[in-house]
Amino acid sequence: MELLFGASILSRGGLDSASEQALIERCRRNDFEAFGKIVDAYQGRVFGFVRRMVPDADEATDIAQEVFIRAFQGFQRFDARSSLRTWLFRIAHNLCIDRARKLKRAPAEATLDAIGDEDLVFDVPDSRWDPETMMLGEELRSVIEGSIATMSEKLRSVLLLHDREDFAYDEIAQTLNVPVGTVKSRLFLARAHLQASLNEYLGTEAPRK
Amino acid sequence: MNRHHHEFDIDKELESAKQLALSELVRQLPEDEPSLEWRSQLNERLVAIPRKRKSFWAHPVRLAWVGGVATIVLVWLAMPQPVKPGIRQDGVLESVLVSEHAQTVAVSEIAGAGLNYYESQRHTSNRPVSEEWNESDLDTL
Repeated sequence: MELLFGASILSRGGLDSASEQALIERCRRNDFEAFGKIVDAYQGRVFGFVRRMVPDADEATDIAQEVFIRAFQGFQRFDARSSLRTWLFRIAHNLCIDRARKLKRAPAEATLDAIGDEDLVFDVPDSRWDPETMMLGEELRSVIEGSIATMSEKLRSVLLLHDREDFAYDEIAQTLNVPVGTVKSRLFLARAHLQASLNEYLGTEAPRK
Repeated sequence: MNRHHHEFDIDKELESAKQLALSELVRQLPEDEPSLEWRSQLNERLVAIPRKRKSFWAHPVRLAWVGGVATIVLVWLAMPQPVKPGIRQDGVLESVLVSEHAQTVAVSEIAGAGLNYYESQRHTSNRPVSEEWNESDLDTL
């Protein structure tokens, strides 16, 4: 079956609008082959998003599959008002939030007021902040992944959708069903959380150099 | 509200060099590609979806319920439908009524109204008219 072996050809690039629309029409007629191409195009991105939203690897694997199953079952209701990408990530986000609710761990909403002035200052006089020279080593990558894992789901989802998936603010607002202003403040807070983790890492690393 | 909110422009802050540097670090995180085993499991679950849809008819209670409803409908359809007497079922009641009326008018025009029962009795009776007189007729004299 083509569906089984066609993975990862378009894992990051997605699909152009015309071919995506054609595939959606075929999926509405329960065409497995067409749906397989959509899975090929989005499985890496959806899987990566879910894996970072859900710490448990087995659960993340199951939820990522559930995203595509829900999509396949729901293509009749997909009205194309939003893009396929937005729709898939909305399903993924909702499943991750449902899972968090089942664990009775309501994600806490951080506010800008909760952050001290020192957290808002990003002008750190440290040459290691240059993104071109700051290559991701194994250790630094682990720090960033750990920081993402420890922020609330609300901040994490915005950070991942914007900084990893290149969603625009209004696209994230549509996906998460929140105002654009909320998206921006969450993104800022998420990066502030990440910066705090990096500051701690760089602070502990500096004496070793 | 904190004092920094008055001068805080979030759009400007989000586009600052440090924020973009943090964004770039997140972007550089490695790709996550699911395994072939994951994809194979997904395929199995997808293939199972149509079977689940067909299982509606395999459920004995649902099947019995649908069968019962179908039987009732068939029996009702097979029963002879009662016809009300005097009412035509072919939908031409109006034309029948018009036709009857037209015939009655035609007969009346041809034969005339004629004598009523009492008038006809007077003319056919052999008895003298005076026999029918009574006391009230005296006042007319």
